[in-house]
Amino acid sequence: MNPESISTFPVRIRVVLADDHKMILAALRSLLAKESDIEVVGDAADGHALLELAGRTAPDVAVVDIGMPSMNGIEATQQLLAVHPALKVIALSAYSDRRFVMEMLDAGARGYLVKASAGDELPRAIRAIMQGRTYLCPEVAGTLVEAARGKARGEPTAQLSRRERDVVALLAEGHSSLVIGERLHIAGSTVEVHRRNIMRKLNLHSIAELTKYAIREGLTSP
Amino acid sequence: MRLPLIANGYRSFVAILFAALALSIAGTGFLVFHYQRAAIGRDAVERLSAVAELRSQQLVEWMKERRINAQMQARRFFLSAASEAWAARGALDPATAARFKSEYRSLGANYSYRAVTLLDRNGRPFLSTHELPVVNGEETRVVAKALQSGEVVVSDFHPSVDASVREWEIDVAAPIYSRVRDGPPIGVLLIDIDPEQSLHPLIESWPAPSGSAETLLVERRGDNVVYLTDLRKRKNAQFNLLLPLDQQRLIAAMAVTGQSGFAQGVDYSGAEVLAVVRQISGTPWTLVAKVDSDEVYASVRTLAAVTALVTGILIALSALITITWMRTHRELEGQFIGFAGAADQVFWISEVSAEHAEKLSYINAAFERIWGFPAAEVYRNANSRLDAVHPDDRGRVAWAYANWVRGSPGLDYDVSYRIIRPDGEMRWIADRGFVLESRRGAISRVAGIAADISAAKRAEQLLLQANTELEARVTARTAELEKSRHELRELTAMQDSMQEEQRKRIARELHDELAQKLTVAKLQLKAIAAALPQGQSELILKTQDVNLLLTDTMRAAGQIAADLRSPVYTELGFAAAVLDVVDDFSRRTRIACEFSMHPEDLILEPRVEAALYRMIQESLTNVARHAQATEVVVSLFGAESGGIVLEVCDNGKGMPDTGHSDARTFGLVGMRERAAILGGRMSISSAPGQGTTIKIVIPRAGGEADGPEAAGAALL
Repeated sequence: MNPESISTFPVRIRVVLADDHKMILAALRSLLAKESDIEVVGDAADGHALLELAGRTAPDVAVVDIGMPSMNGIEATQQLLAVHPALKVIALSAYSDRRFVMEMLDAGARGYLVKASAGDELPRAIRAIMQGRTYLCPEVAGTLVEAARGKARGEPTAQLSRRERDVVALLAEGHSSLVIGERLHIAGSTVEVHRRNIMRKLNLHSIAELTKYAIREGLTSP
Repeated sequence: MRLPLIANGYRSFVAILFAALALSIAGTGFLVFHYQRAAIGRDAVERLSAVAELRSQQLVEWMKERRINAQMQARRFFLSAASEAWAARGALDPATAARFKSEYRSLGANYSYRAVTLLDRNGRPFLSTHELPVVNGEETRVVAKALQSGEVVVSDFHPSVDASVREWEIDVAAPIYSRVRDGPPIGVLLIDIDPEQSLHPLIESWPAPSGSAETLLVERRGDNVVYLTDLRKRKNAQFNLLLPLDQQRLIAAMAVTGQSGFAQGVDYSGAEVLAVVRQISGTPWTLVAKVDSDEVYASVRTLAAVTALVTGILIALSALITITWMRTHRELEGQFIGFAGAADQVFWISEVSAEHAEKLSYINAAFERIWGFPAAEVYRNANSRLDAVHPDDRGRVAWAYANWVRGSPGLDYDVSYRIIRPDGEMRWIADRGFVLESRRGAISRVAGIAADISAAKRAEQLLLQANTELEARVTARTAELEKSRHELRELTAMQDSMQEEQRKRIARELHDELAQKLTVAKLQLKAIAAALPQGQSELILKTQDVNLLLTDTMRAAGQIAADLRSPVYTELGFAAAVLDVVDDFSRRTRIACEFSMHPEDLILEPRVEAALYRMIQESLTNVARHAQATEVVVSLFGAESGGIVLEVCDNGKGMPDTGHSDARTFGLVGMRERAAILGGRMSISSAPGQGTTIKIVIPRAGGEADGPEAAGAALL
């Protein structure tokens, strides 16, 4: 169908599919069968089956659905890449929620497509990631941009959130809740709530202990 | 029956008071009388003394005058010459005789001389102003004495010679001496004085008006006293009245036996008199000035009468007052008895002696009606009242009574007890005492009112019983209510989880069935479009339309599924789902929102997770709608007790009143109910301008919500 791709890729791209819906798998097979440079070497109905399949067929690309029984796509991706680091994973999901996208990219996926755009974009996405690029469908890309525009927020790294780490640093420097609130542009009462949560999380009982923690963790400016 | 409202002591006190009052009034009257009488007596005696003194002096003066006059007459020459002539010749020349008669008649008229007579040295009369008198008795003695002594001699009163006229006279005999030679008297001039004319007016007159006062002369005659002057109270007594000296109290007798000065006794008429006695010197006479006691003390008697009258009136008045007072009390007693007799309550009065032995002094008729035995028995034996008390109450009643009458501070007698009547019926009595009298700090009389409260007691017991039954019924109802509430909550919980399941299932259906099939349809449409010949541009356009339609449908289905059940929750779990909610909230509302969870790997029951998820959603919705906050922190942590604590703190305007039932509170009710379903409780702390913190505590699985607040919260 695409003569350019044929000439560029004399060897066809080996693809495995993972989805718990047989009809989807069948539709995808027929979709990809039309692409001369793509070859579907197998499919799996859940995460475990995918792992087994990948070990057996050594594919180039895995197209993974997120919502699967027994082991979801995110977890499956993590385990798959742990065993086959060269494998390239494209998420194909009905969901476009930011969290799914982030989780999936975090797990090591190189592409993310919603199922609605699969017909138009899956072959293109497979070829793109085979060239080492990342491919996101326009809908997912919009979600990510929106998230990036939103207020910066920290992921719960280690035990404390980023906000909580800011509060710890200022508390360790001996500032009052009011001053901390002014610095961080939040209310004094909110600082109090953060302080309580921090003490609880770290199992600390005094500001002195909190200061020690902050120094040990390098949260303070010396 | 005597009602001793007034104690015996009190009655005798009143009697003594009355007697003392009467005595003092009488005594004062007597003293006044006595003093007045003494004063008047002294006054009268002074007056009598003055009169007696005056009269006796006048009497003596009169005598002296008579003597001097007689002496001067006897020295007249012509009398000496006449007497010498008579002695020498035994005859008188008529001129001399005529001169004598004319001179002495006129002199006699002036001096009240009845007759003047010349006598010779032998005492024989030879010349007189009247007929020659017969010289006898007293006259002879006087004449002889004058001749013998050569001095003027005055006779006593004596009757005149002429017995028929019964006149009394006093004679003065003056000796006449010769003019030519010394020697014994040659004659005597005898002057016969009529005392009625000259002396008596002097004596018998009284210088002040008086009904009984008089002055009189008395003289002793042997063993009698003779009255020499006319008497006021007895006619013809002069010289005729002789009274024996042995009459002790007779003033005249006292006088003639030598007493002088003030005397008190009886006069000739037997009347009580005051008198002053004077001896007249040179005479055998005694002068008595006297006045009747009755007259003297007449004014005192009036005074005495007035005093007695006033005393009597005062005594009568005080007696009247006392009697009225006593009667009033008796009337009061009568009224009290009438009142007490008609009363339904028992009135009792007891005397308390020093030994605290009780003696009942009064009890009214109600006693017999209530206690069922005669009051006489109680009068006889005060203890019979206590004996009638139910054995279970007797000790308590006796103790209360004994301590009360002993005057123990702070104790009074106000007891309820049961009595057993002789007929076996039991009654409830409320008995309350009060102190009537205390003597020297010790209670001496007490009284009390005892009422039959059996009916009230019965009613009380019925009420108590009804109350208890009601209580039991209420408890049962409450338990039922609690049970049905619990059941309702279970049902709600079940419904909730069923709903949750349903949502999950529908979402799953939408996702698994619809979305997948649409995906397949879309892929197949793509295949159809690819297979269409180039010339069918119209069909190609149609497939593109259908493709767009399918894309929209898939998006809508995904949205519906996501609304029913967060796919993040389904695929990534509770914590991720909460983070998703929080992020969504921040993005949508521009309210900074933090989620803090500890520990990170908090493991929760699915239904607890679902409830917490919903509560977080609801509380954030509330914050967005009402709080006007700029920051929210959602904290979820394991409590020390092992339960779960969810806190949602905002920095908004706060709630003015947590009990306010506005839409926000309505949202809170749902949260409360969710917490209650899990056995937890919700509390809200808020103040205007201070933000709001909603705290939900859920006990660990199988545990109970700690604290009594849980039940209260659950009831809301």
